[in-house]
Amino acid sequence: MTSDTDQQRRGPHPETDAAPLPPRSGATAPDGIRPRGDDAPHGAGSGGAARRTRHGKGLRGLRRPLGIGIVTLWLSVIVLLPLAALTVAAFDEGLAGFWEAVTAPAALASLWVTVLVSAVVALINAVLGTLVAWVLVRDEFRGKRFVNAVIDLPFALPTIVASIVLLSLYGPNSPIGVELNATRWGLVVALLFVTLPFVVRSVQPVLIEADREVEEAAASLGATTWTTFRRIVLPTLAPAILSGTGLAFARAIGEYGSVVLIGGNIPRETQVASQYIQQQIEIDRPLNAAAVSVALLAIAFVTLLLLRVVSSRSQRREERDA
Amino acid sequence: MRVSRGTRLSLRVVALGYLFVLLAVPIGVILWRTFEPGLSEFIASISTPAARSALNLSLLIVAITVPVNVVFGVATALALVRGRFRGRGLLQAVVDLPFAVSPIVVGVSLIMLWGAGGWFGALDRAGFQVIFGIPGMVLATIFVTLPFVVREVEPVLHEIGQEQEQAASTLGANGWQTFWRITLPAIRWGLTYGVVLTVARALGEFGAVIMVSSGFPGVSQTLTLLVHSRYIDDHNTYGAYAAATLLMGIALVVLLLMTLLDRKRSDR
Amino acid sequence: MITVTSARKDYGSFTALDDVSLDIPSGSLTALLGPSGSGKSTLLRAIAGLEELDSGTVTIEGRDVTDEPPQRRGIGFVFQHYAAFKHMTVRDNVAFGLTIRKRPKAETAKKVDELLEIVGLDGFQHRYPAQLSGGQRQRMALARALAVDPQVLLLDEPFGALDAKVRTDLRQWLRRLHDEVHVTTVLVTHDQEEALDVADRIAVLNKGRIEQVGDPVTLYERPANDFVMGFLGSVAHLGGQLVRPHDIALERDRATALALDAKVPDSPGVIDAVVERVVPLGFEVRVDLRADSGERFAAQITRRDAAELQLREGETIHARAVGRSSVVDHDPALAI
Repeated sequence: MTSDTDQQRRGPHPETDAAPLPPRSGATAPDGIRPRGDDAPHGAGSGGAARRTRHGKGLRGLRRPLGIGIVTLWLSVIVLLPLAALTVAAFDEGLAGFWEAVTAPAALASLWVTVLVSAVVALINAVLGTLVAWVLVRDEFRGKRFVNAVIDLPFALPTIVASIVLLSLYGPNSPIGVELNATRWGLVVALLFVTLPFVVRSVQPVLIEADREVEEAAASLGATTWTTFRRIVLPTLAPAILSGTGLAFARAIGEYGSVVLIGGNIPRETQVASQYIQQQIEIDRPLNAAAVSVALLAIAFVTLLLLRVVSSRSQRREERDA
Repeated sequence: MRVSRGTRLSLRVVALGYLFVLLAVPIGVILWRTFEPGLSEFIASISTPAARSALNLSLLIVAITVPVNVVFGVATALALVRGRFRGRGLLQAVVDLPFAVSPIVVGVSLIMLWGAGGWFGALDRAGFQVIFGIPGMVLATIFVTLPFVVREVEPVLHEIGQEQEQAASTLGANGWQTFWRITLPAIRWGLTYGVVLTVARALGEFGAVIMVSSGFPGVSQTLTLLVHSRYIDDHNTYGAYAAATLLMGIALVVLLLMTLLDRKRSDR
Repeated sequence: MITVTSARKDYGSFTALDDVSLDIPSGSLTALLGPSGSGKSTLLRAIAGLEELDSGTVTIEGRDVTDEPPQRRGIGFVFQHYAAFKHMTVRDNVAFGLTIRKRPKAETAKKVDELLEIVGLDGFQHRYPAQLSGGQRQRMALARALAVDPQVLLLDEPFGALDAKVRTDLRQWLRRLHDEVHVTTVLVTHDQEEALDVADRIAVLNKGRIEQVGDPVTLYERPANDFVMGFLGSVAHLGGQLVRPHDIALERDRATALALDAKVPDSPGVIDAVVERVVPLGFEVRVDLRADSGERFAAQITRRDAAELQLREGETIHARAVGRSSVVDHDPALAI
């Protein structure tokens, strides 16, 4: 009853914020970017968006200039000012200085390694993440709930712990004889570990919601299982896979804790951008550190922006179809 | 989509095999390596003076971060949900920003702002050390945990709407009474969830914190820094395993809480 | 007495209240009736202080409360969707206002028990709102509003979210409650039947203005304009006039019809019409008719009259208006 009436009161919300992403299940990452979606605002309460309503003083304060001013000031001091200082530092010696710092061979190499490894990780995630999601939704086996809960583990685990955990298996004196430390495959494994939940958690809810009758209809029309998957299931899942993959990529390029021990930090080989930045700070080259930081930020922003564009386009297509 | 039994089984094997190799085996190995020498060894390793002080520092950072995030997080969420003002979309984007910024970049940014050569360098020169001190570590932690409370409380505020608050005001409650008696209880599970996420991230943050910490054992090492320095600087592999296992235990508790709270939230 | 003077409220380009003035006598049960978007809810919320007026004043029992927040207006407010405090038991919900006022525990408990008995929820003290039906929740909300002894009780479409049977029961119950408690009550509704049923005074609103205020009989019998007439009951268009269907008489004989019609002043005359359908409604019969002009209208006559007339579909009959329920001040601009 309640939910019914609540629904009636709630129209679509005009200012849906950053919500190109599919609904999230239980997962929320305490570490870094995370899948999100249905936490986008549903709509204003009973009053409706246009209504100016009023309360007692305390709550009213937050809608008055003072409250908003305090919140803005807070966000500025914590988030915006540091990033502004970083950007200014990156251009301390003008555009040329910035360009020189970013295109220094070691810097460029670290950015290249970062993007390359992250892309490989993203692709593996796209395939295996979708597969894991499919098994968790459409398959039945004992212990499924447990496996489902374990998926969130990489989000709950501190990144440095992830690093140590993988090192204990794939590091020196590996009990299985697979030594991946100080190789690019070591980076890949570490990043696969920390980005595991992204694709799984964005595909899962879509797969649960997917209309099985459509698949059955395709089968009844003579489509083989593979054709049904390729022509019916995959297109439905594509936006979710894409957004999960994009988030995994964005997370991977900035990752530090999980790769710091297993990566080996070998310049031009396994040194990723975040390690390069850290190194430049240590040898007191703040300009280099700031410049590569800005480059890394730019890559992350462009990735997220592309994601948003693509997803809003596919959303619009669906709405048009509907 | 009807999948043949064979396909289904092989898909299952691939998926579970992947999870096994990626998650289960490494975690199993580290647990085995931690507890192989015996429980007393483990306890000894996590109760050295350096480990104790690392735990204390981690908890201190959590103890500062959580209340600050709760107060400003709830205030921000209220402003974003109930407020009608220009630039609200911008504020939304700023709240999401920390999710997109690499921890290392967070550290560098803080150095550029608060460090001796930064915008607020005067503070440093006047003797109030932010970078390489506890304030810097707290600022870094607040930066990376800032979105959690806001993003968990915001949808709940949307969902409950304003009628309950209005009803309270017609019954004579002033703004504070309404907040304490109506709004806060209504958002309590979302807030708790946000706090759990904040605690987990604050305890586990490494990249941003290592950039702004001097890293002296017993002084400015958090638990994650302890794991790192034991492995890299002290070549104390076992000590690193033990500390990592401790952190993992905390993470498991967090995961359990998340699962329970999630059920609680959806029951509501 | 509640006095609203020159109230104005705009939402952007939409005018919710357009210079509204209204007096609501103490002890009355007044309904604010109108279609959605007519401003009735805004007016009620402005009285409560939940909306700030752009201009105009509100006084309650002689006290100017225009700039007072809701908590200092001495009101009780009941919301359409109950606004139950979901995390509190029924008892705590009802006790809320008294707790806020820091009344002694014993007094609060006594008052809550009394009220729960009045609203028929004794025994439900320890339930949570989620465990109640919609009707029970609304009765809890009423008890909660009454607990603080408000000077005025304001109800915003209180039965709108309930199903038809519960709605009828609850409004009769509200009527009885009002007869007992005698608190000045203002009720917002879009349902004319509900307004006629419970209220002793009705204010009809349309497009942010008050069209007419009066007791139910006056409004029904002597509507100020076509809008009020149309909104307070069904109407038929008869010879260019609005007439209530039960004020139409049918005659077999045209001469008789003309003779009888001559006694009614300002009548629309006798209209010849073809019987299209005869629909038995229980005590009455509805006759669907088509005039020579092609205009369709319906007449409502008693079963006995219908039996005497022996109406058959397709035959022509003579319709005339009786009684006096036409518009007092005919304003073609408001014709619907």
